[in-house]
Amino acid sequence: MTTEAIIEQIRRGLEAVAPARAAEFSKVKKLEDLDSLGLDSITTLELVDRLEKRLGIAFSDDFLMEMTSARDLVAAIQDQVAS
Amino acid sequence: MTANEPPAAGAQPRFRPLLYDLVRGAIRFLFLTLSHPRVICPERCPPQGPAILAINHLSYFDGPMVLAMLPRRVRPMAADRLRRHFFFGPVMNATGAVFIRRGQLDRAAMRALLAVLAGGGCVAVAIEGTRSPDGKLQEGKNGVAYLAAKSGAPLIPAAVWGTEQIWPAWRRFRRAEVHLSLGSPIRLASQSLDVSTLDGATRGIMSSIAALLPSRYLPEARYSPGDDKMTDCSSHEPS
Repeated sequence: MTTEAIIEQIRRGLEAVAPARAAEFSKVKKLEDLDSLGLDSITTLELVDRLEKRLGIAFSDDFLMEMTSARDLVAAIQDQVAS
Repeated sequence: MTANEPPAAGAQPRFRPLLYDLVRGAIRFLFLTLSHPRVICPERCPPQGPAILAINHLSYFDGPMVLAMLPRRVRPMAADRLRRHFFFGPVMNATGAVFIRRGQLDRAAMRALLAVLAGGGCVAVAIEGTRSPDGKLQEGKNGVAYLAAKSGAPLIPAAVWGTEQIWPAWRRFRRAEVHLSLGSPIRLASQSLDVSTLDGATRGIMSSIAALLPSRYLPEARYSPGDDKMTDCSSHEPS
């Protein structure tokens, strides 16, 4: 799965979690754009739940605790989809 | 560490009802001896079944006050750093607190809280996320509304005040007047987890807490005090 495809999945997930910010999310094209969104922990938690269901993957709680950037999330999704 | 390692075993303390009751009794004795507690509308907390107490947070004593004064077992949510506090750490561990790491995506803690609710328990969560730095009610975080939407459990807004005066009063060999006031239970109209819905629910809960607090604890710009009339319930000094 390419980085662009994963960003698209994340963008769709965000639009479902926070539809009021859909216009802002539609401008997300790069990893850096995701980091600059300033998502709170509850929004991120719900996004992660939705990504897990949509992509059929599962993140460990330890990984989520240590995750610091969108780059970590995208790398983890690529890792899981590939395995 | 990789993303697809199995989830770590929960590092939350095990809940031991007998130990809880013993510690609760000791804390209650201390509160009754060293302060003047007053509980307003305790019957608004359902005696059984899942419930979420959404409380404001002024002092480290807020959690113990809720545990000691409510007529049912309550599992507090506490900041992970309190685990190692010389006094509150053992108290929180003994009462089966759910520790959460602030500023991190602590899904395990959220899952532990949901498990307590699924088992018919009651959890107490500081809706502002941390102690108020100036004694005024802060903005609420969406975690409480998220828990309520996920679990379907009723929310009980709860206001605590006077606890910030406990330590200063002790230093003057006096007993502080401390209050715990419960608002009417709230059931969320929607279990939707989108942010706008959670924001709206959080604002509603904060307004309910503001209505229970004396005006000196309210930032004038955000809340107006005193519209939750308490004529339909009791107010008493525990003995």
